Amino acid sequence: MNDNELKKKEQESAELLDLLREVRDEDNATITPRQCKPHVQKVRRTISPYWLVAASVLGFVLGIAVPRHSSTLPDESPYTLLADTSYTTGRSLAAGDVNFALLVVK
Amino acid sequence: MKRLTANALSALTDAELMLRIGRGEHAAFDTLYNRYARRLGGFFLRMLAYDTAKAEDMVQELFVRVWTYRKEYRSDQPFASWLYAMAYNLCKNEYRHETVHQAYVEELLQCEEATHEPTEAMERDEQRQRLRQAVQSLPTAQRDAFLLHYDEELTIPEVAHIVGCPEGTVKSRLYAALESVKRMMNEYK
Repeated sequence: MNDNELKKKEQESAELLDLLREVRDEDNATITPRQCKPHVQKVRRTISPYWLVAASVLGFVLGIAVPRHSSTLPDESPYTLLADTSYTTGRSLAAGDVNFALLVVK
Repeated sequence: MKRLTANALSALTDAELMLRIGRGEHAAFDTLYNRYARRLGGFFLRMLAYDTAKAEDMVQELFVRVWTYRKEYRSDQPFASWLYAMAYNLCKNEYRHETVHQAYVEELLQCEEATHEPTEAMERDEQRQRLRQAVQSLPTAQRDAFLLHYDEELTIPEVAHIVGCPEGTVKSRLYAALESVKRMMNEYK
């Protein structure tokens, strides 16, 4: 098949090819492009195992290093003074019943 | 690379957009998608026997592939050719392809039998429908070459590359397809 034969056929079919393009444009107009965001769909965050190990070690160290009931605040609560107890922490005051019991005794 | 506005991006060529997409620029991808989505939708529509929902799904699938394989695009090859090659392969992989095509042609033939005398207003629509039917009833190889060359306006070497056959074969298919379509349209007149 040489180029000339095809070209000749195309010239003979010019009207048909025009109609074909009209049909194509009509068909294309029926398509409603939807949103396409593959770059959004593909994003997935993963946590590195190194971070998990580091967080665990940090938690362990903090758990050991920080005393559970320590406080550096001076105990100047009137309840404590009044009760004359050996309780020195805010937490033991907040626990309530023991201190109040002592208050009543006093 | 400097980020551009949507207007500036729309002035870029396909290859320039692909270069930016390759570097992960989302706005460039959106611009390319908007440029081709409708056109590719129409192509899928004709290749998949006018199944609109399927055609729209295929456009999505195609552009997901464009994003996935963005780094494989070489700027020395025409983008349209690369894109249509992927689109063509999707069509070939489409498992319902032949079934849908057969169903559509049968449906058209039934419509033809049931058609009454066309009025003046209906005549043009009828002619277009006839043309659709004629193209759809071509042998698959001829139809693919015909649609890629005349509808999608790809060059003969591009069509040959996409369908994987020599240029001479594409020309023969185009010639035969033109002759068949013309004959079918003349029979109608």
